[in-house]
Amino acid sequence: MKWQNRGLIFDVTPQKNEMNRFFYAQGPQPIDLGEVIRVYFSSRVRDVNGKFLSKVNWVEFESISHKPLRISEREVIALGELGTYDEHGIFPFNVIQYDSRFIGYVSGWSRRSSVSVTTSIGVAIGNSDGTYFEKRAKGPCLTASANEPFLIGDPNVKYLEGEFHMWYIFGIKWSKTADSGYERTYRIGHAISHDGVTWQRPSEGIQIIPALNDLEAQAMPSVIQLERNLYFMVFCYRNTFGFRENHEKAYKLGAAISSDLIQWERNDNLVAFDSNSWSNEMACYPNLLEKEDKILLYMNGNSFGLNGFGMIEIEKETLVSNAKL
Amino acid sequence: MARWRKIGLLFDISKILNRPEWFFEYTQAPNVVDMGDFLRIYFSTRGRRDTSGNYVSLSTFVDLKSIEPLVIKEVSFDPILDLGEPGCFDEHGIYPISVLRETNRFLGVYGGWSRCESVPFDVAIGLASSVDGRKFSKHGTGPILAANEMEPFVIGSPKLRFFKDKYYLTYIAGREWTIENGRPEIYYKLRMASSENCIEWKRFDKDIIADRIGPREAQACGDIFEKNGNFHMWFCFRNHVDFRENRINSYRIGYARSENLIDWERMDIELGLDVSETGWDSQSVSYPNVFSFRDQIYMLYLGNHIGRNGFGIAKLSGELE
Repeated sequence: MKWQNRGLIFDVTPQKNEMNRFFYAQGPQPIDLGEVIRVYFSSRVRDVNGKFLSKVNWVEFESISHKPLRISEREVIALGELGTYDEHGIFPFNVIQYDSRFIGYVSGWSRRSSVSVTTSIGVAIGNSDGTYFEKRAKGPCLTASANEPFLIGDPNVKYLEGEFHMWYIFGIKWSKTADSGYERTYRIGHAISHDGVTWQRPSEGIQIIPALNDLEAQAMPSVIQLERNLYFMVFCYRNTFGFRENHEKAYKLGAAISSDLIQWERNDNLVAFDSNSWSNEMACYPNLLEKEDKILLYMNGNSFGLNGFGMIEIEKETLVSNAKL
Repeated sequence: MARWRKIGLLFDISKILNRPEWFFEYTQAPNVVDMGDFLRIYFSTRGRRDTSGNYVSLSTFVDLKSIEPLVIKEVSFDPILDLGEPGCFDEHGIYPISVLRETNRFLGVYGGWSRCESVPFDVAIGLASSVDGRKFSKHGTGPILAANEMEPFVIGSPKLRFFKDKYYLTYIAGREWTIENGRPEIYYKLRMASSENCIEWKRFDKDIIADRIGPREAQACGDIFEKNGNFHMWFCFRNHVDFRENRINSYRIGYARSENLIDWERMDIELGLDVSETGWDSQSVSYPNVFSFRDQIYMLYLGNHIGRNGFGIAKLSGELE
């Protein structure tokens, strides 16, 4: 069983198109709008000091051909003001449709001076068609706590079984590198909420997906329900060190299944696909969407999404039968 | 009517010889714990600035046998808490710490500092405990109280109390960073929270002390003292900008009273503390801690340059209402 590679469906390769507005298109986050699939993503701009800021945009695709139709033209959500958790970027931006509203979960970045950055998660409310968002407040709804000391990010929110669930990552260690910098290691956690804003962490500080080794960093969890008592998660993982230049240590896709949303069994084979030129060195930042009888997986390939994002897909029936094996 | 009578500089850092490197200057935010036959005063101090002008704050204590006259039993040259690991909220400073003595343990809440890029710092509150009150261990590597939607950054200046059946925390929450002459400046407001276990806190979600010098008044160090079922709070406040050298804009000590710990009536005129005409506390007075010792009510506080020289003491004459 393998997923079918649909290729780089949103191509922002820098040299390819002079009209290209986007430098990077990272962390694709699809929502189903019927005949159209809208994908929110983050791209980079430089601030006055020449450092990157991640800002949110979206692109809409025709839902059968997956051809791009329309791209956001104005700012989708503003970055935070001086000193706030999302002052230096929003990446990723996870949007859900709930109670005929669009709710956006902000993974906000703020730069630090010894380590490079920390992240926290906030909530934004969309306009009537979800093309534009405003944050509920200046501060985050989920941030560092006693057992999750930093780097709370990558939210993936789903309303399931009468509750909001959030899968996210928390940092466990910043390790010194040979050149006196720091590299981060993070793992996947789980929080629940009755209102989508106030979150409880019953398993605070406990990673819910086993790591293949101590240096594994896990990111960008995405969960969907396949059928009653069968949930499927994809995520990406890499080594703490050497992941930018060494293909062996670069991001790859991982997967896990659960019957109760508490215990997860890791099985990376469930997300195997034939990689090609855009995804042969790295596969990262996945996000799932169920559409008709298929499961679509949007993701970045090589160079963390410098060239855009692509998509792989599988028949839902095939995935379910493999998940049950 | 009661009023404060200043006694003078109580603890003069220049008289403490052979201090370790991390105990170079400042004694900030004193907080008293009654140890029975002596008094322990926790405070925070700074090491020398590095070549970038950065310094690290650590906390320690001095034990006093007597206040009048001052008899020092011991000055600890061992910090009570270590800095956090890289990336942790308390990587660059532990300041201040407020300690509560219980039957079998000491509980400490502290402000943990980490340096940022666009603004100089962020702060969150950590919890630590100790058997002997000399060396504390942390509850987790992260904070127990950090930013939330309504309190977006700089959660600090904690004071821990236990009244009736609950823990109470006064703390500050940053409201806004502004750029003044190219430099980020912040103002913050006093807030409160309560807890059954000192770990999970329920925030009051409101500013507890009304502003007196305008909406950008910065408030800190809410120090609650209970007397005859009434609650008295001393705190310090300053102007948002130009407060470091300018006497007019620097810290003063304010006063508020409450019967229920929730609604506070500010009455600085009645029992606040102002600067002196001359001397060590003529520019600024801040970071009060009020306590009772041998049937006398005292206030420890900082003077000019927010504790660079040490901390001073005043005593109450008359009865608290």
